[in-house]
Amino acid sequence: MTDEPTIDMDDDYDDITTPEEVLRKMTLMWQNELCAPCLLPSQMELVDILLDQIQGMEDDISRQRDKMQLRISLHRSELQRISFLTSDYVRCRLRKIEANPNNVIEEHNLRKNDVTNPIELLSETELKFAEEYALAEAELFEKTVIEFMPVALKKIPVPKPDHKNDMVYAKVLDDDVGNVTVTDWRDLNAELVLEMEKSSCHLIPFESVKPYVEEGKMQLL
Amino acid sequence: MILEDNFRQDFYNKIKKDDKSLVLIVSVDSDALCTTMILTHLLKCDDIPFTILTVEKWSEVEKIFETKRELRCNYILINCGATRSLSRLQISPDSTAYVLDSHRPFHIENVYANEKVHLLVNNSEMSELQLPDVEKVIQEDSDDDEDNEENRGSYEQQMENIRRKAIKREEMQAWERQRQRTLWKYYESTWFSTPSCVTLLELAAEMNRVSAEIMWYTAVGLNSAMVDKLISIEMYTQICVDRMRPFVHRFLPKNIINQGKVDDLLHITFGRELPLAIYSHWDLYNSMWHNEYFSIKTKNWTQKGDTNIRHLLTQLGVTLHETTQKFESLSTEQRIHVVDLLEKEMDSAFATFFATLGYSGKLSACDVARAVTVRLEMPRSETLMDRYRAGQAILRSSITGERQERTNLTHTISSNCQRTLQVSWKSVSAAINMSEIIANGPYYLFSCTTSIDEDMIDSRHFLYNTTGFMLRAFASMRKGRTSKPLIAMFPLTGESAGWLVVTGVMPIATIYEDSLLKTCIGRAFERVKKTNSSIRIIDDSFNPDIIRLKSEDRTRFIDLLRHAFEGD
Amino acid sequence: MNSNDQSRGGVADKALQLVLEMKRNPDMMPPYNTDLMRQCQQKIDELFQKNAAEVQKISAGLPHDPTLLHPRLGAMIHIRRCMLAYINERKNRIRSYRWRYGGALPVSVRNALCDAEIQFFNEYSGTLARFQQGLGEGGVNLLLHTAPPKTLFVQVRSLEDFGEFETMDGNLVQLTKDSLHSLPRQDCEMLIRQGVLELVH
Repeated sequence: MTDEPTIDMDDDYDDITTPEEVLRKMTLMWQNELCAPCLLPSQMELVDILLDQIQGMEDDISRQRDKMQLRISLHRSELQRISFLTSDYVRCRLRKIEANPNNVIEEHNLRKNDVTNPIELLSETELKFAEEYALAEAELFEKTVIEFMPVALKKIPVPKPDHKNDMVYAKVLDDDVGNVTVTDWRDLNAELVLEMEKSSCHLIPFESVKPYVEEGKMQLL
Repeated sequence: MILEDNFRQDFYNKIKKDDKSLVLIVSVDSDALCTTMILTHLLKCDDIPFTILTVEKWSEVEKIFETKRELRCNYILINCGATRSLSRLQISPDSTAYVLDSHRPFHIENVYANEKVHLLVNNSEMSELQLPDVEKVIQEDSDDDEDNEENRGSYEQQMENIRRKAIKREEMQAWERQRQRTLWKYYESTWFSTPSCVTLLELAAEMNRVSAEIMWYTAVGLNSAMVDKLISIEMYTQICVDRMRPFVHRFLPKNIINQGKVDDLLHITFGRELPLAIYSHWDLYNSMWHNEYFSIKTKNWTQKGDTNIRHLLTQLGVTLHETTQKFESLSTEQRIHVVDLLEKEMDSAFATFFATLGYSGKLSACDVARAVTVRLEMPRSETLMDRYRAGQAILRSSITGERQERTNLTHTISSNCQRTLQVSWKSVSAAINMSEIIANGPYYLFSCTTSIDEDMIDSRHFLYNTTGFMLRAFASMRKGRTSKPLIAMFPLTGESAGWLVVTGVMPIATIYEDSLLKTCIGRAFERVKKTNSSIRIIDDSFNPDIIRLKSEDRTRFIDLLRHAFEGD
Repeated sequence: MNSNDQSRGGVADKALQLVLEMKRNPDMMPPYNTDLMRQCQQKIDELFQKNAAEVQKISAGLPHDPTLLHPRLGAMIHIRRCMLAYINERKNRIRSYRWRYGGALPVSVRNALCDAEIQFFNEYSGTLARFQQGLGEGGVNLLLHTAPPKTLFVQVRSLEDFGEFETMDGNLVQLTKDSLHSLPRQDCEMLIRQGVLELVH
């Protein structure tokens, strides 16, 4: 993939310089998103960059006259893989949003307004999707069930997902992860401290490693 | 026009580079199936999109061209199309047709008059084709420029013109007569050439893409031509020696065979085999009973048949016990011993390919070819594509060893193939016992009175094998029956009741002489149709010697056929 | 049980039936069960009326029996939960139809839905379409690329006379019944889902 067009980077992604790097990060994020029990912060900028690239490559290929070259075939295969990667990433996120849109929106607002480390859980389009979807869903329930309930029973609690006990397999990618604390099951007030060496693998509660996964320092398996 | 060799340049690379859609029109027979498997493998390697359409009759081919008239296509016709003029099909101007067909002879218009049709022929076959020279058969149009001068010039000149024209006309008539003679000779008989899959194997080899699978498909395709009696054993052996030999050793790891070690890999070996249908999936007794050679030797359609065959077994030194149990369940030594004895008895020089896959039993290409052929042709109630896919699955399963598919293969062999052999034997024995074969002037005529499954009657495999068997059995009963052909008629039932399937085999004496197995039966049928167009004949099959005839026209047909043969 | 409560079965039987109906037909959409839903509502109403009457007695200082107040409330919440679960499961299936068939529901499915559900489908469909449009520059069809690509081409068999079909390369392919094709994967993904083509190996 050396003769790809170079791309204009978003300002946020100054640190990522090459298409390979974008793809590598996308793959990592896709894998993490697939394995994580809850929604991770949005990486839609990456998706946008890749979509841009796909378009560029497609244009390149269609300009080629001899369609039978092996090089073209390889490019196309790669293109298909990237398309799958991005589409599946987006689909996976949509599934998670659809599973509990209200909770997702709530969390998004919480984390956005976090003073120390504001993070956008949803991208703009995703937020819009979540809101519209939540509305449609609410309307469906309203029309079929809630409408007929006595006043006292009209309120339905939003289920809160609990990821406390979700275990994940995680692989350490970065040197400076350091130590991670895990609740000690024998003594609930105590905590265990685990050392996270580079490229070691752990079966560990998701909550303990969540920040590292979100930063891309750990990879879920 | 004819493409001789360099198929990679002139055929494959052309369809590869062309930006047209590729349509494969595949006749449903085993050779075509194997050819298609190889060709599609090559196409897949190169990421070329294609479409496969299956056909069984001429009318289906015509219909395809009718509906696709406006499309820009490259057509590849596999085992169909060479023997009739494709000019009539009106291939659209941007399209090209490549024809890979083992039916012979080619229609002369396909050879000379149509630039859009490319026939793929191995150049070693060119002399066999005996193509007439182009100027003898194709008229040039550009010699009529004198017409404009009519009624001009002096009286003498006019007279001169008239005289010249008269001479010209005379010449033309002579030429036309000569042309008719040439064409008559050229079209006199039909035969089958080397199976198409061998050509494809060589093409794949040229591109360095031969794999064990391709090799096996070719082996099956080649054997199918043999079991269908399309090519003679001499020709079969010759093809094995001349064209398959370079590939035989490639997929046979010698060290493993020598060490007798078994592993789970696919090996293809080449070795001697009894010319005894599906005996390794049956018991020897039944297999011998229904075999042409043993059946004729013991005349087992007579009352003494059973005694005779036991007698023969005793002579050979094979115990009855060994022959009545499943061949597979015999011990290895017994198997080798018995096969040895029978081989000597049959005095055969038959060798074929075997596929060994891990721990499942050895399969001979011959048996697989039988299974695939029978599956492709029966049952008729399934659509053509369903049969094609089923045949494909069986062929593939013979070397992939998927259990479910493998069961299908053994089931096809143990039920359909056995049944075909049984029905074939029964037809022969009934024909002889009830003296249903009568001499009718220059040929013998067999009219089947019992009803046979329609599935069988529509199967080329069954027809060719049964009629060949029948003529030999008939000839074995009395001397001097070797010089006339046999014409066989089978009544159809069900939907097509009221029709007969008519086919024929050449005299035994001719068959012995000719390694190409040329037959003029098809030509004779055609002649009957030409001389009396009121006889209702459907000649829709790719094989000109299998036709359908309306039952009421039977008597007239028999008489006219007599004239046709006598006219020779 | 209260003496005037004649029904012998459990109080939430009907509600349970709703849930079971979905569980027993995992791969099709059973018709929307208006009847059962109404019966469940009525049950809740009935229970609610009883509780209301009881509360009135309490506030009026009349003799009362408070033991059944909480069980009734529990029953009401349980029935409501079953109803919601029923709708929720149906909603999930409707969503999956959007992914399978695109924006047009097959008639057989459409007939099994109630008005509110059809409206939900349309809204969901629109939401998803708008979302897809917002991706990248020209939008992305998320219905494509659903399986990890192994090869560029797939072998398919046409199950009906579909007619001419143009691939992305601009090749025209005639899809007639019972023809086999080798086509680029992304071109036929939608047709496979619609049942025009069938994957063969």
